[in-house]
Amino acid sequence: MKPARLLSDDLVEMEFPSQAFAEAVASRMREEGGWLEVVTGIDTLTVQFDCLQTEPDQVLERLSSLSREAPEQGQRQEAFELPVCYSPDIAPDLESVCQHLNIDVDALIRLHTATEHEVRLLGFAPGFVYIDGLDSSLNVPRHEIPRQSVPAGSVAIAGSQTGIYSLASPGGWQVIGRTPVALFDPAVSPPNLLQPGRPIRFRPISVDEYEALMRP
Amino acid sequence: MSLHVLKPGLQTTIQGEPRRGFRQLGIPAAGPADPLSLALANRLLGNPFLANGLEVTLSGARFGVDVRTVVAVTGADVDVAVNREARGMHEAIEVRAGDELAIGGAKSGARSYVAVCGGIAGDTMLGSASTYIPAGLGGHGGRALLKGDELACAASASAADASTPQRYRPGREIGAALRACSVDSDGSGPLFEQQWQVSSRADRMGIQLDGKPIAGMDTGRLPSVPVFPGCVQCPPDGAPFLLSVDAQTTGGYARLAQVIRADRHVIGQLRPGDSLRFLPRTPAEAVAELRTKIDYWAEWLPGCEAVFY
Repeated sequence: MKPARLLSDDLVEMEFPSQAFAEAVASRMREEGGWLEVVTGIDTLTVQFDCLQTEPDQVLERLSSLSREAPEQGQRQEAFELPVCYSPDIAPDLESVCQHLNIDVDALIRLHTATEHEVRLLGFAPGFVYIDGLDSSLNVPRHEIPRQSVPAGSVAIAGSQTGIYSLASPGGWQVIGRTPVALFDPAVSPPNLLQPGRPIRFRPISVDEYEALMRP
Repeated sequence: MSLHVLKPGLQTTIQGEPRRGFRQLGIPAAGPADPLSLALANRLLGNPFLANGLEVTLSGARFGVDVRTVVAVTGADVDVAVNREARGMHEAIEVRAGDELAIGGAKSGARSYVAVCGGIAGDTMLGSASTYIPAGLGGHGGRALLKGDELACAASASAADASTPQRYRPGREIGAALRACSVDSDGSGPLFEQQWQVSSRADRMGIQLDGKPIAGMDTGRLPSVPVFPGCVQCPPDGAPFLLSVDAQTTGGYARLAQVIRADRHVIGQLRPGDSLRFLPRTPAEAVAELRTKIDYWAEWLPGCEAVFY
Protein backbone atom coordinates (compact mmCIF):
# COMPACT_ATOMS: atom_id res chain seq x y z
CA MET A 1 0.00 0.00 0.00
CA LYS A 2 1.32 3.46 -0.87
CA PRO A 3 1.67 5.82 2.10
CA ALA A 4 -0.82 8.64 2.55
CA ARG A 5 0.25 11.98 1.09
CA LEU A 6 -0.38 15.61 1.89
CA LEU A 7 -2.14 17.39 -1.03
CA SER A 8 -2.21 20.86 0.52
CA ASP A 9 -2.28 22.54 3.92
CA ASP A 10 -5.53 20.81 4.90
CA LEU A 11 -5.98 17.72 2.70
CA VAL A 12 -4.49 14.25 3.00
CA GLU A 13 -5.19 11.51 0.44
CA MET A 14 -4.53 7.78 0.58
CA GLU A 15 -5.02 4.98 -1.93
CA PHE A 16 -6.35 1.60 -0.83
CA PRO A 17 -6.31 -1.85 -2.45
CA SER A 18 -10.12 -2.02 -2.40
CA GLN A 19 -13.23 0.09 -1.98
CA ALA A 20 -14.25 -1.91 1.09
CA PHE A 21 -10.90 -1.14 2.72
CA ALA A 22 -11.21 2.60 1.99
CA GLU A 23 -14.82 2.64 3.27
CA ALA A 24 -13.89 0.73 6.45
CA VAL A 25 -11.12 3.21 7.30
CA ALA A 26 -13.44 6.12 6.42
CA SER A 27 -16.13 4.79 8.79
CA ARG A 28 -13.65 4.50 11.63
CA MET A 29 -12.44 8.06 11.08
CA ARG A 30 -15.99 9.44 10.95
CA GLU A 31 -16.84 7.62 14.19
CA GLU A 32 -13.83 8.98 16.03
CA GLY A 33 -14.56 12.52 14.82
CA GLY A 34 -12.28 15.53 14.78
CA TRP A 35 -12.00 15.70 10.98
CA LEU A 36 -13.80 18.27 8.82
CA GLU A 37 -14.60 15.89 5.94
CA VAL A 38 -13.81 12.21 5.35
CA VAL A 39 -14.59 11.38 1.73
CA THR A 40 -13.98 8.25 -0.31
CA GLY A 41 -13.32 8.12 -4.04
CA ILE A 42 -12.73 5.01 -6.14
CA ASP A 43 -10.28 3.10 -3.90
CA THR A 44 -9.15 6.37 -2.28
CA LEU A 45 -9.85 8.28 0.90
CA THR A 46 -9.32 12.01 1.43
CA VAL A 47 -9.43 13.71 4.83
CA GLN A 48 -9.90 17.44 5.21
CA PHE A 49 -8.62 18.60 8.60
CA ASP A 50 -8.29 21.88 10.48
CA CYS A 51 -4.65 22.69 9.79
CA LEU A 52 -4.67 25.30 12.58
CA GLN A 53 -5.49 22.65 15.19
CA THR A 54 -3.99 19.48 13.74
CA GLU A 55 -0.50 18.74 12.45
CA PRO A 56 -0.48 16.86 9.14
CA ASP A 57 1.65 14.15 10.76
CA GLN A 58 -1.24 13.35 13.11
CA VAL A 59 -3.50 12.66 10.12
CA LEU A 60 -0.82 10.70 8.23
CA GLU A 61 -0.11 8.58 11.31
CA ARG A 62 -3.80 7.93 12.01
CA LEU A 63 -4.34 6.81 8.43
CA SER A 64 -1.31 4.57 8.37
CA SER A 65 -2.22 2.94 11.68
CA LEU A 66 -5.84 2.32 10.59
CA SER A 67 -4.65 0.94 7.27
CA ARG A 68 -2.39 -1.59 9.02
CA GLU A 69 -5.49 -3.12 10.59
CA ALA A 70 -7.31 -5.43 8.21
CA PRO A 71 -10.74 -4.05 7.32
CA GLU A 72 -13.43 -5.54 9.49
CA GLN A 73 -15.62 -7.82 7.46
CA GLY A 74 -19.02 -6.27 7.94
CA GLN A 75 -22.06 -8.50 8.00
CA ARG A 76 -23.22 -9.43 4.55
CA GLN A 77 -26.15 -7.10 3.99
CA GLU A 78 -29.39 -8.17 2.42
CA ALA A 79 -29.77 -7.01 -1.19
CA PHE A 80 -31.88 -3.88 -1.66
CA GLU A 81 -34.55 -4.50 -4.29
CA LEU A 82 -35.09 -1.44 -6.43
CA PRO A 83 -38.11 -1.36 -8.76
CA VAL A 84 -37.19 0.05 -12.18
CA CYS A 85 -39.48 0.80 -15.09
CA TYR A 86 -37.66 0.14 -18.35
CA SER A 87 -39.85 1.94 -20.85
CA PRO A 88 -38.92 4.24 -23.70
CA ASP A 89 -41.70 6.56 -22.44
CA ILE A 90 -39.59 7.57 -19.45
CA ALA A 91 -36.12 6.35 -20.45
CA PRO A 92 -34.92 8.48 -23.38
CA ASP A 93 -31.85 6.39 -24.21
CA LEU A 94 -33.35 2.90 -23.88
CA GLU A 95 -33.97 2.36 -27.59
CA SER A 96 -30.71 3.89 -28.81
CA VAL A 97 -28.74 1.84 -26.27
CA CYS A 98 -30.46 -1.35 -27.52
CA GLN A 99 -29.66 -0.40 -31.11
CA HIS A 100 -26.05 0.33 -30.18
CA LEU A 101 -25.75 -3.07 -28.46
CA ASN A 102 -27.83 -4.81 -31.12
CA ILE A 103 -30.22 -6.39 -28.61
CA ASP A 104 -33.93 -5.97 -27.89
CA VAL A 105 -35.35 -4.24 -24.81
CA ASP A 106 -36.34 -7.53 -23.16
CA ALA A 107 -32.77 -8.82 -23.47
CA LEU A 108 -31.44 -5.59 -21.95
CA ILE A 109 -33.88 -5.89 -19.03
CA ARG A 110 -32.84 -9.52 -18.47
CA LEU A 111 -29.15 -8.60 -18.49
CA HIS A 112 -29.67 -5.68 -16.12
CA THR A 113 -31.91 -7.52 -13.63
CA ALA A 114 -30.43 -11.04 -13.63
CA THR A 115 -27.53 -10.41 -11.29
CA GLU A 116 -26.81 -8.71 -8.01
CA HIS A 117 -25.06 -5.33 -8.23
CA GLU A 118 -23.32 -3.38 -5.44
CA VAL A 119 -23.32 0.29 -4.48
CA ARG A 120 -19.77 1.51 -4.98
CA LEU A 121 -19.85 5.20 -4.19
CA LEU A 122 -22.08 8.20 -3.57
CA GLY A 123 -20.92 11.40 -5.06
CA PHE A 124 -20.50 13.77 -7.95
CA ALA A 125 -23.86 15.37 -7.08
CA PRO A 126 -26.19 14.94 -4.10
CA GLY A 127 -27.92 11.59 -4.36
CA PHE A 128 -25.95 10.28 -7.33
CA VAL A 129 -25.23 6.58 -6.76
CA TYR A 130 -22.43 4.72 -8.56
CA ILE A 131 -23.21 0.97 -8.77
CA ASP A 132 -20.79 -1.81 -9.78
CA GLY A 133 -21.72 -5.13 -11.32
CA LEU A 134 -23.06 -4.16 -14.73
CA ASP A 135 -23.04 -7.08 -17.18
CA SER A 136 -20.02 -6.53 -19.43
CA SER A 137 -22.17 -6.87 -22.56
CA LEU A 138 -23.98 -3.65 -21.54
CA ASN A 139 -20.91 -1.42 -21.84
CA VAL A 140 -21.88 1.83 -23.58
CA PRO A 141 -20.10 5.21 -23.67
CA ARG A 142 -21.38 8.39 -22.04
CA HIS A 143 -23.12 10.99 -24.17
CA GLU A 144 -20.52 13.23 -25.75
CA ILE A 145 -22.56 16.25 -24.74
CA PRO A 146 -24.20 15.83 -21.34
CA ARG A 147 -27.93 16.51 -20.99
CA GLN A 148 -28.79 19.77 -19.23
CA SER A 149 -31.23 17.97 -16.98
CA VAL A 150 -31.78 14.29 -16.24
CA PRO A 151 -35.01 13.66 -14.28
CA ALA A 152 -34.92 12.43 -10.67
CA GLY A 153 -35.05 8.64 -10.42
CA SER A 154 -33.33 8.04 -13.76
CA VAL A 155 -31.41 4.77 -13.91
CA ALA A 156 -28.53 5.06 -16.35
CA ILE A 157 -25.52 3.13 -17.53
CA ALA A 158 -22.04 4.10 -18.74
CA GLY A 159 -18.89 2.03 -18.98
CA SER A 160 -18.92 -0.71 -16.39
CA GLN A 161 -21.39 0.93 -13.99
CA THR A 162 -25.02 1.77 -13.39
CA GLY A 163 -25.74 5.22 -12.00
CA ILE A 164 -28.90 6.58 -10.41
CA TYR A 165 -29.78 10.25 -10.50
CA SER A 166 -31.69 10.50 -7.21
CA LEU A 167 -32.30 14.19 -7.89
CA ALA A 168 -32.69 15.95 -11.22
CA SER A 169 -29.26 17.09 -12.39
CA PRO A 170 -27.22 17.56 -15.55
CA GLY A 171 -25.65 14.31 -16.67
CA GLY A 172 -24.09 12.33 -19.49
CA TRP A 173 -25.02 8.73 -18.71
CA GLN A 174 -27.39 6.70 -20.93
CA VAL A 175 -30.80 6.59 -19.27
CA ILE A 176 -32.39 3.12 -19.58
CA GLY A 177 -35.07 3.26 -16.89
CA ARG A 178 -36.56 5.11 -13.97
CA THR A 179 -37.28 4.16 -10.37
CA PRO A 180 -40.22 5.52 -8.36
CA VAL A 181 -38.26 5.10 -5.12
CA ALA A 182 -36.92 8.31 -3.58
CA LEU A 183 -33.29 7.53 -2.78
CA PHE A 184 -32.39 10.95 -1.40
CA ASP A 185 -34.35 13.02 1.12
CA PRO A 186 -32.55 16.00 2.65
CA ALA A 187 -35.14 16.11 5.44
CA VAL A 188 -33.85 12.88 6.98
CA SER A 189 -30.38 12.02 8.23
CA PRO A 190 -28.58 10.40 6.56
CA PRO A 191 -30.39 11.62 3.46
CA ASN A 192 -29.21 8.71 1.29
CA LEU A 193 -31.18 5.46 1.42
CA LEU A 194 -28.31 3.43 -0.07
CA GLN A 195 -24.79 3.36 1.32
CA PRO A 196 -21.55 2.08 -0.28
CA GLY A 197 -21.18 -1.69 -0.10
CA ARG A 198 -24.95 -2.38 -0.15
CA PRO A 199 -25.89 -5.16 -2.58
CA ILE A 200 -28.71 -4.13 -4.92
CA ARG A 201 -31.03 -5.89 -7.36
CA PHE A 202 -33.14 -4.23 -10.01
CA ARG A 203 -36.75 -5.47 -10.33
CA PRO A 204 -38.49 -4.64 -13.61
CA ILE A 205 -41.92 -3.02 -13.25
CA SER A 206 -44.54 -1.89 -15.76
CA VAL A 207 -45.42 1.72 -16.52
CA ASP A 208 -48.70 1.22 -14.60
CA GLU A 209 -46.87 -0.08 -11.57
CA TYR A 210 -44.39 2.81 -11.82
CA GLU A 211 -47.20 5.33 -11.85
CA ALA A 212 -48.99 3.62 -8.96
CA LEU A 213 -45.82 3.72 -6.86
CA MET A 214 -45.23 7.38 -7.72
CA ARG A 215 -48.60 8.35 -6.21
CA PRO A 216 -48.24 9.45 -2.61
CA MET B 1 -41.35 39.70 7.70
CA SER B 2 -38.64 42.27 7.54
CA LEU B 3 -37.26 42.35 3.99
CA HIS B 4 -38.93 41.60 0.70
CA VAL B 5 -37.32 41.16 -2.68
CA LEU B 6 -38.12 43.83 -5.28
CA LYS B 7 -35.47 42.76 -7.82
CA PRO B 8 -33.46 39.58 -7.21
CA GLY B 9 -30.82 40.23 -9.91
CA LEU B 10 -28.80 37.49 -11.56
CA GLN B 11 -28.61 35.25 -8.49
CA THR B 12 -29.19 36.23 -4.89
CA THR B 13 -29.07 33.51 -2.26
CA ILE B 14 -29.05 33.19 1.52
CA GLN B 15 -25.60 32.00 2.65
CA GLY B 16 -24.20 31.43 6.12
CA GLU B 17 -22.22 28.70 7.87
CA PRO B 18 -20.95 26.05 5.44
CA ARG B 19 -22.62 22.62 5.55
CA ARG B 20 -19.79 20.46 6.83
CA GLY B 21 -19.41 16.70 6.93
CA PHE B 22 -21.67 15.58 4.08
CA ARG B 23 -19.29 15.45 1.13
CA GLN B 24 -19.27 11.64 1.33
CA LEU B 25 -22.96 11.83 0.37
CA GLY B 26 -22.26 14.07 -2.61
CA ILE B 27 -23.30 17.22 -0.74
CA PRO B 28 -20.91 20.18 -0.98
CA ALA B 29 -20.45 22.65 1.87
CA ALA B 30 -21.91 25.69 0.06
CA GLY B 31 -21.76 28.86 2.21
CA PRO B 32 -20.64 32.29 0.98
CA ALA B 33 -18.23 32.13 -1.97
CA ASP B 34 -16.35 34.98 -0.25
CA PRO B 35 -16.77 34.29 3.47
CA LEU B 36 -14.40 37.11 4.47
CA SER B 37 -16.74 39.70 2.95
CA LEU B 38 -19.80 38.21 4.68
CA ALA B 39 -17.85 38.31 7.96
CA LEU B 40 -17.00 42.00 7.43
CA ALA B 41 -20.67 42.81 6.89
CA ASN B 42 -21.81 40.85 9.94
CA ARG B 43 -19.02 42.41 12.03
CA LEU B 44 -20.52 45.88 11.67
CA LEU B 45 -23.82 44.61 13.09
CA GLY B 46 -22.44 42.54 15.94
CA ASN B 47 -23.65 39.31 14.32
CA PRO B 48 -21.63 36.07 14.38
CA PHE B 49 -19.21 36.32 11.43
CA LEU B 50 -21.02 33.69 9.37
CA ALA B 51 -24.59 34.60 10.35
CA ASN B 52 -26.91 34.17 7.35
CA GLY B 53 -26.69 37.04 4.90
CA LEU B 54 -27.52 37.64 1.25
CA GLU B 55 -25.02 36.91 -1.51
CA VAL B 56 -25.78 39.18 -4.48
CA THR B 57 -24.14 38.23 -7.79
CA LEU B 58 -22.79 40.69 -10.40
CA SER B 59 -25.99 42.44 -11.48
CA GLY B 60 -27.19 43.91 -8.19
CA ALA B 61 -30.55 43.65 -6.43
CA ARG B 62 -33.24 45.71 -4.67
CA PHE B 63 -35.06 45.02 -1.42
CA GLY B 64 -37.99 46.56 0.39
CA VAL B 65 -37.56 47.05 4.14
CA ASP B 66 -40.49 46.22 6.44
CA VAL B 67 -38.94 46.74 9.85
CA ARG B 68 -36.60 49.14 11.61
CA THR B 69 -33.15 47.55 11.52
CA VAL B 70 -29.53 48.04 10.54
CA VAL B 71 -27.89 46.61 7.42
CA ALA B 72 -24.38 46.55 5.95
CA VAL B 73 -23.05 45.86 2.46
CA THR B 74 -19.56 44.52 1.65
CA GLY B 75 -17.76 42.50 -1.03
CA ALA B 76 -17.71 43.41 -4.73
CA ASP B 77 -17.48 47.15 -5.43
CA VAL B 78 -21.10 48.30 -5.74
CA ASP B 79 -23.17 51.45 -5.32
CA VAL B 80 -25.49 51.27 -2.33
CA ALA B 81 -28.56 53.45 -1.99
CA VAL B 82 -31.46 53.81 0.43
CA ASN B 83 -34.48 55.50 -1.14
CA ARG B 84 -32.17 56.48 -4.04
CA GLU B 85 -29.83 58.31 -1.70
CA ALA B 86 -26.24 57.08 -1.95
CA ARG B 87 -24.83 55.29 1.08
CA GLY B 88 -21.45 53.68 1.61
CA MET B 89 -20.26 50.13 1.56
CA HIS B 90 -18.68 48.96 4.81
CA GLU B 91 -21.01 51.14 6.86
CA ALA B 92 -23.78 50.29 9.29
CA ILE B 93 -26.91 51.71 7.63
CA GLU B 94 -30.06 52.29 9.66
CA VAL B 95 -33.23 51.56 7.68
CA ARG B 96 -36.94 51.78 8.51
CA ALA B 97 -40.13 50.17 7.32
CA GLY B 98 -40.97 51.50 3.86
CA ASP B 99 -37.35 52.10 2.85
CA GLU B 100 -35.89 50.65 -0.33
CA LEU B 101 -32.34 49.25 -0.28
CA ALA B 102 -30.65 49.10 -3.70
CA ILE B 103 -27.41 47.30 -4.48
CA GLY B 104 -25.91 48.31 -7.83
CA GLY B 105 -24.11 46.14 -10.36
CA ALA B 106 -20.59 45.05 -9.39
CA LYS B 107 -17.93 47.43 -10.80
CA SER B 108 -15.18 45.04 -9.75
CA GLY B 109 -15.43 41.70 -8.00
CA ALA B 110 -18.37 39.36 -8.42
CA ARG B 111 -20.38 39.10 -5.21
CA SER B 112 -21.58 41.60 -2.66
CA TYR B 113 -22.97 40.64 0.73
CA VAL B 114 -25.88 42.16 2.60
CA ALA B 115 -26.02 41.49 6.32
CA VAL B 116 -28.95 42.42 8.54
CA CYS B 117 -28.86 42.91 12.29
CA GLY B 118 -29.62 39.54 13.90
CA GLY B 119 -29.15 37.63 10.65
CA ILE B 120 -31.67 36.40 8.08
CA ALA B 121 -33.80 33.32 8.75
CA GLY B 122 -33.26 30.43 6.35
CA ASP B 123 -34.35 26.79 6.07
CA THR B 124 -31.80 24.82 8.06
CA MET B 125 -31.04 21.49 6.41
CA LEU B 126 -28.26 19.12 7.46
CA GLY B 127 -27.05 21.67 9.97
CA SER B 128 -26.82 24.75 7.75
CA ALA B 129 -29.09 27.30 6.13
CA SER B 130 -26.69 27.98 3.25
CA THR B 131 -28.40 27.65 -0.11
CA TYR B 132 -27.27 24.85 -2.41
CA ILE B 133 -29.41 25.30 -5.50
CA PRO B 134 -28.72 22.00 -7.37
CA ALA B 135 -30.22 19.94 -4.53
CA GLY B 136 -32.64 22.56 -3.27
CA LEU B 137 -31.01 22.70 0.14
CA GLY B 138 -31.28 25.47 2.72
CA GLY B 139 -31.85 29.17 2.15
CA HIS B 140 -35.28 30.20 0.93
CA GLY B 141 -36.90 27.06 -0.46
CA GLY B 142 -33.46 25.86 -1.58
CA ARG B 143 -33.41 28.32 -4.47
CA ALA B 144 -32.23 31.73 -5.58
CA LEU B 145 -34.51 34.54 -4.38
CA LEU B 146 -37.38 35.66 -6.58
CA LYS B 147 -39.29 38.92 -6.75
CA GLY B 148 -41.83 39.01 -3.94
CA ASP B 149 -40.00 36.64 -1.60
CA GLU B 150 -40.32 37.69 2.03
CA LEU B 151 -37.38 37.23 4.39
CA ALA B 152 -37.53 37.19 8.16
CA CYS B 153 -34.89 38.95 10.23
CA ALA B 154 -34.70 39.70 13.91
CA ALA B 155 -35.99 43.25 14.43
CA SER B 156 -33.36 45.20 16.26
CA ALA B 157 -31.57 47.81 17.70
CA SER B 158 -28.26 49.31 16.89
CA ALA B 159 -25.09 48.50 15.04
CA ALA B 160 -21.91 47.39 16.75
CA ASP B 161 -19.66 49.80 14.85
CA ALA B 162 -20.22 52.55 12.34
CA SER B 163 -17.81 51.47 9.64
CA THR B 164 -14.96 49.15 8.69
CA PRO B 165 -11.55 50.79 9.27
CA GLN B 166 -9.93 51.69 5.93
CA ARG B 167 -7.09 49.22 6.30
CA TYR B 168 -9.55 46.36 6.61
CA ARG B 169 -11.43 47.20 3.41
CA PRO B 170 -10.30 44.78 0.71
CA GLY B 171 -8.43 46.36 -2.20
CA ARG B 172 -9.75 46.72 -5.69
CA GLU B 173 -7.02 45.00 -7.68
CA ILE B 174 -8.31 43.32 -10.84
CA GLY B 175 -5.49 40.81 -11.09
CA ALA B 176 -5.55 38.13 -8.45
CA ALA B 177 -2.78 35.86 -7.27
CA LEU B 178 -3.82 32.63 -5.65
CA ARG B 179 -1.30 30.66 -3.65
CA ALA B 180 -1.61 26.95 -4.31
CA CYS B 181 0.03 23.62 -3.53
CA SER B 182 1.07 21.86 -6.70
CA VAL B 183 0.10 18.24 -7.13
CA ASP B 184 3.67 17.75 -8.35
CA SER B 185 5.60 18.03 -5.14
CA ASP B 186 8.33 20.27 -6.63
CA GLY B 187 5.80 23.08 -7.03
CA SER B 188 6.37 23.41 -10.76
CA GLY B 189 4.01 22.79 -13.62
CA PRO B 190 2.40 24.67 -16.48
CA LEU B 191 -0.39 26.03 -14.27
CA PHE B 192 2.15 28.24 -12.48
CA GLU B 193 3.97 29.45 -15.58
CA GLN B 194 1.38 31.69 -17.19
CA GLN B 195 -1.29 34.26 -16.47
CA TRP B 196 -4.87 33.01 -16.80
CA GLN B 197 -8.13 34.77 -17.56
CA VAL B 198 -11.43 34.01 -15.89
CA SER B 199 -13.77 32.82 -18.64
CA SER B 200 -17.50 33.46 -18.85
CA ARG B 201 -18.08 29.98 -17.43
CA ALA B 202 -17.90 31.06 -13.81
CA ASP B 203 -20.36 30.27 -11.06
CA ARG B 204 -20.50 28.96 -7.50
CA MET B 205 -19.48 25.50 -8.70
CA GLY B 206 -16.30 26.61 -10.40
CA ILE B 207 -14.49 28.78 -12.90
CA GLN B 208 -13.06 27.78 -16.26
CA LEU B 209 -9.76 29.51 -16.99
CA ASP B 210 -8.71 30.77 -20.43
CA GLY B 211 -5.06 30.74 -21.46
CA LYS B 212 -2.62 28.64 -23.42
CA PRO B 213 -4.10 25.13 -23.14
CA ILE B 214 -2.09 22.76 -20.98
CA ALA B 215 -0.69 19.92 -23.07
CA GLY B 216 -0.75 16.25 -22.13
CA MET B 217 -4.06 16.30 -20.26
CA ASP B 218 -5.72 13.75 -22.55
CA THR B 219 -4.95 11.00 -20.08
CA GLY B 220 -8.26 9.23 -20.50
CA ARG B 221 -10.71 8.92 -17.66
CA LEU B 222 -9.10 8.59 -14.25
CA PRO B 223 -10.81 6.89 -11.31
CA SER B 224 -12.96 9.42 -9.47
CA VAL B 225 -11.25 10.97 -6.46
CA PRO B 226 -12.65 13.37 -3.84
CA VAL B 227 -12.27 17.03 -4.84
CA PHE B 228 -12.71 20.17 -2.74
CA PRO B 229 -13.16 23.92 -3.27
CA GLY B 230 -9.84 25.36 -4.44
CA CYS B 231 -8.92 22.31 -6.50
CA VAL B 232 -7.66 23.08 -10.02
CA GLN B 233 -8.74 20.26 -12.33
CA CYS B 234 -7.82 19.94 -15.97
CA PRO B 235 -10.07 18.20 -18.52
CA PRO B 236 -8.55 16.73 -21.72
CA ASP B 237 -8.99 20.04 -23.61
CA GLY B 238 -6.26 21.59 -21.42
CA ALA B 239 -8.40 24.44 -20.04
CA PRO B 240 -8.12 24.30 -16.22
CA PHE B 241 -11.17 24.50 -13.99
CA LEU B 242 -10.93 26.09 -10.53
CA LEU B 243 -13.51 24.66 -8.14
CA SER B 244 -15.49 26.91 -5.80
CA VAL B 245 -17.82 26.50 -2.80
CA ASP B 246 -20.52 24.46 -4.58
CA ALA B 247 -17.95 22.14 -6.24
CA GLN B 248 -18.94 18.57 -7.01
CA THR B 249 -17.58 16.15 -4.41
CA THR B 250 -15.72 13.75 -6.71
CA GLY B 251 -13.96 14.28 -10.02
CA GLY B 252 -12.29 12.16 -12.67
CA TYR B 253 -10.08 14.77 -14.34
CA ALA B 254 -6.39 15.31 -13.72
CA ARG B 255 -5.70 17.54 -10.72
CA LEU B 256 -3.00 20.21 -10.99
CA ALA B 257 -3.11 22.10 -7.72
CA GLN B 258 -5.04 22.97 -4.59
CA VAL B 259 -5.49 26.63 -3.62
CA ILE B 260 -4.43 27.07 0.01
CA ARG B 261 -7.01 27.64 2.74
CA ALA B 262 -5.84 31.23 3.30
CA ASP B 263 -6.75 32.26 -0.26
CA ARG B 264 -9.97 30.36 -1.07
CA HIS B 265 -12.16 33.35 -0.16
CA VAL B 266 -10.61 35.22 -3.10
CA ILE B 267 -12.13 32.74 -5.58
CA GLY B 268 -15.61 34.07 -4.80
CA GLN B 269 -14.73 37.53 -6.16
CA LEU B 270 -13.26 36.41 -9.51
CA ARG B 271 -15.35 37.59 -12.43
CA PRO B 272 -15.15 36.94 -16.17
CA GLY B 273 -12.18 38.80 -17.68
CA ASP B 274 -10.17 39.00 -14.44
CA SER B 275 -6.56 37.89 -14.75
CA LEU B 276 -5.21 35.30 -12.41
CA ARG B 277 -1.88 33.81 -11.44
CA PHE B 278 -1.03 30.85 -9.28
CA LEU B 279 1.92 31.03 -6.89
CA PRO B 280 3.38 27.73 -5.67
CA ARG B 281 3.52 27.04 -1.94
CA THR B 282 4.40 23.94 0.04
CA PRO B 283 1.78 22.68 2.53
CA ALA B 284 3.94 23.96 5.42
CA GLU B 285 4.26 27.40 3.81
CA ALA B 286 0.50 27.37 3.26
CA VAL B 287 -0.19 26.92 6.98
CA ALA B 288 2.22 29.76 7.77
CA GLU B 289 0.44 32.04 5.24
CA LEU B 290 -2.90 31.18 6.88
CA ARG B 291 -1.55 32.09 10.34
CA THR B 292 -0.16 35.37 8.97
CA LYS B 293 -3.53 36.24 7.42
CA ILE B 294 -5.45 35.41 10.61
CA ASP B 295 -3.01 37.51 12.65
CA TYR B 296 -3.58 40.41 10.28
CA TRP B 297 -7.37 40.22 10.64
CA ALA B 298 -7.42 39.33 14.35
CA GLU B 299 -7.74 42.89 15.62
CA TRP B 300 -10.88 43.66 13.61
CA LEU B 301 -12.24 40.11 13.35
CA PRO B 302 -11.12 38.38 16.54
CA GLY B 303 -11.57 34.63 16.34
CA CYS B 304 -11.90 34.66 12.54
CA GLU B 305 -10.25 31.23 11.97
CA ALA B 306 -13.51 29.66 10.79
CA VAL B 307 -14.04 32.44 8.24
CA PHE B 308 -11.15 31.05 6.20
CA TYR B 309 -12.29 27.66 4.86
